[in-house]
Amino acid sequence: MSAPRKAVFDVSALFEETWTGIPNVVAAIAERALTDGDIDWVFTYETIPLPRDLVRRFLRLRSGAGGLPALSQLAWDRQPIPFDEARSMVAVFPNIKPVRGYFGTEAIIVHDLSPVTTPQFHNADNIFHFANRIREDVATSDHVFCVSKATMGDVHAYLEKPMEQMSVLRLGAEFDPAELSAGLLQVRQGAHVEPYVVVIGTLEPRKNGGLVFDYLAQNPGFAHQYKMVFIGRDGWLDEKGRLMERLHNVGVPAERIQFTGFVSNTERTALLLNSAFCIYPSFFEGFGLPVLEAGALGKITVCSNSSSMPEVFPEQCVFFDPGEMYEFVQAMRIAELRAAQTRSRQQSLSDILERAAPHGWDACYARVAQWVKEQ
Amino acid sequence: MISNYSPVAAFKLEDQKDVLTGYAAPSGESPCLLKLVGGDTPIFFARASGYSASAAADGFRSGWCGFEVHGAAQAFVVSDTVRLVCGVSGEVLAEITEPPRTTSASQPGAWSVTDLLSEVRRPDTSPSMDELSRFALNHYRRHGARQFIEATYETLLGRWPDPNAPQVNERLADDEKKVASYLRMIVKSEEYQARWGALMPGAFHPSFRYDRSGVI
Repeated sequence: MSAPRKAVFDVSALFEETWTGIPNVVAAIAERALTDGDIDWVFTYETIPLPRDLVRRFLRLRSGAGGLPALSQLAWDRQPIPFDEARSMVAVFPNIKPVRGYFGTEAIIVHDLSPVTTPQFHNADNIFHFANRIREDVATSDHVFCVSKATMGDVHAYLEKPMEQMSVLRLGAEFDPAELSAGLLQVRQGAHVEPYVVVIGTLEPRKNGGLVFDYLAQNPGFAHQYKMVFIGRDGWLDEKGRLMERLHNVGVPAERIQFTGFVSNTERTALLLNSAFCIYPSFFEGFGLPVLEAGALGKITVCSNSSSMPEVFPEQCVFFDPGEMYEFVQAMRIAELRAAQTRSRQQSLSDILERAAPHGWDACYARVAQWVKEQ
Repeated sequence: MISNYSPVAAFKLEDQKDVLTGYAAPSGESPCLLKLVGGDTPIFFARASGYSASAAADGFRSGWCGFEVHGAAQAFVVSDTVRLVCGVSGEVLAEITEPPRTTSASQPGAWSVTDLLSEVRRPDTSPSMDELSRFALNHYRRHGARQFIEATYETLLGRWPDPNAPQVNERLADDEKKVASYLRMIVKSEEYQARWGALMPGAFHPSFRYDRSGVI
C-alpha cells in the first residue's frame, strides 16, 4: 500500500480572533482534512508547519485567540518546510499566497475580484494591494478554485487564466445543532417574536443597504408592519445618521430600524430563523454565503441579481436589479407573499436539519481532496 | 460540528418543569452536546456550557457545564418515548416520563427582537460579576496587565483596546482589587451597556477571551 499523498493547507486565516468569511471557509476545510486518512495534510502558517493540536484548538474555540504568541514560539522551534521537500508537495492556499512556486504543485482559492471589477467600493490601498498580488498568485497556480461560476468568469476575463486550469468550488453552509435549537421559538410554549425582516451583511456601500432606506422612504407603511433588522458590522459611520434622519422625516420612527452590530453565530441563526424573510441587496459578491445560509434555513431572500448571487440558491430567492427601485419594490411584494405561504417560522428542528444537510461543506472538501489526489 | 463536543462523563437532571435543566460534565476539554428526542426524532440540542450552581457544588468544571433543554412538550407530541441522550456517544442519559406542566404564567408571550437576542444569549452568560472576575483574575496573573486589558476589551466590548484605553490601577493593593476595579469601570460604560445590557458573557460565549485553564 502506498503512503498517503502529502499536501499542505495554509491555515493562516485561522489566527484571526473573530472568524467571518475566509476563516470560516478555512475552518470548514481544515475540519474535514483533519479526519481524512487518504491525504497526509500538513497545516501551515505560510510555510511553517503547525501542530495539529493547535489547529484543533482553534476549531474548538472557533477563534484564533492566543494563537499569535504560540506562533512566535513555533517560528523559533520549527523550521519552515525546506524548499527541497516542498518541491515534492502539493499546496492549497485558501486566499492570498504567501509564497509562489515554492511547492511542486500549487492551488489557490479565489473568492472574488471585487477590488478589480468594482473598485468604486474599495479604498485605493486595498485595490493596489489586491491587484498587485492576485495576478501573480493566479499565474503561478497550477489550479485555481473559484467559489462561483461568476468569479471563474472574472478570473478568466481579467487575469486570462485558461478555463481548463480552473474549477468551481462551491462553498457550504453548516449549522451547529445547538445553535439552531437555541433560535427555535416553536419549542418554547407561547413564545413569538414581533414581525421583522432582516437585511444581511456588513453596513458598507458595496452591500447597498441604502436601497432599503430608499424603499422605506417611499413605503413608510412597510416599517410599521415589519421592523427592519440590519445584521452585521457597521461600516457606514455618519451615513447611518443621515439615513435615519431621512426616515424620521417621512414618519418612520427610529425604533423600527435596528442595527445589531456583530452578532455570534447563535444570535445570527436565531435572527434568520425567526424573520419573515431576508434581504440581500449587495451590488457584488464572489459567492454570497448569507444567501445560501438563509436558503438552507428555508428562508426566502429578496436577492440582488448581480455577479454570483443568482447561482447560490435561486429556488429560495426573489431576484431584482440592485440599481432598480421598481424591481426591488416588486420583489419585496412577492417575497412577502411567498414567505407567508412557506410558513418558514414554523419548521421543526428535524425539517431544518434535513433541509440544510445537502448544503454542508462535505462536497467542498471532497473537491479539494480529489484535486490533491489527482496530482 | 459534533467533533467540537465531548462525551458526557457525569450527568444530573435537576428540573423537569417547562425546561429541563441540570448539568453534564464532559470527559474531554470541550463541552457536552445533549439531544432531546421523541422516539427517533430530534427535537432540541443543547450545549452544556452554561453555569450551574449545582455543578459547582458537586465539583464539576467550576460550574460551567449547565444546560437548558426546551421542547419536552413537543417531544411528547411526536412519541411517548422521550429521552435525553448524549449528542456525541448516543448514550441515554434520562428517560422523560411525563410531559412538562406549563402554566399560563410561565408562557413568555410576545418578544421584541432585542428580547429574542437576549433570550438566545442568556444560556451563555455569567450569573454574576464574581464568576467573570475569577477568569479575569486568572488571566491577569497568567498573562500580565496588557493581555488582561486586551482580553477584557474583546470579551466585554467586542473590540481591541484603542490607544487611549485606561490602564490597570497599579496603586491598588492587590491583584483582585486591580482586576475588580477595571471590570467595574468597563461594565459601567455606555459601550458595554449598549452591547450587553444587564447580561455578562459566560465562559463559553464566543466573545469570551479570558484564559480558562486553571479555572475550568
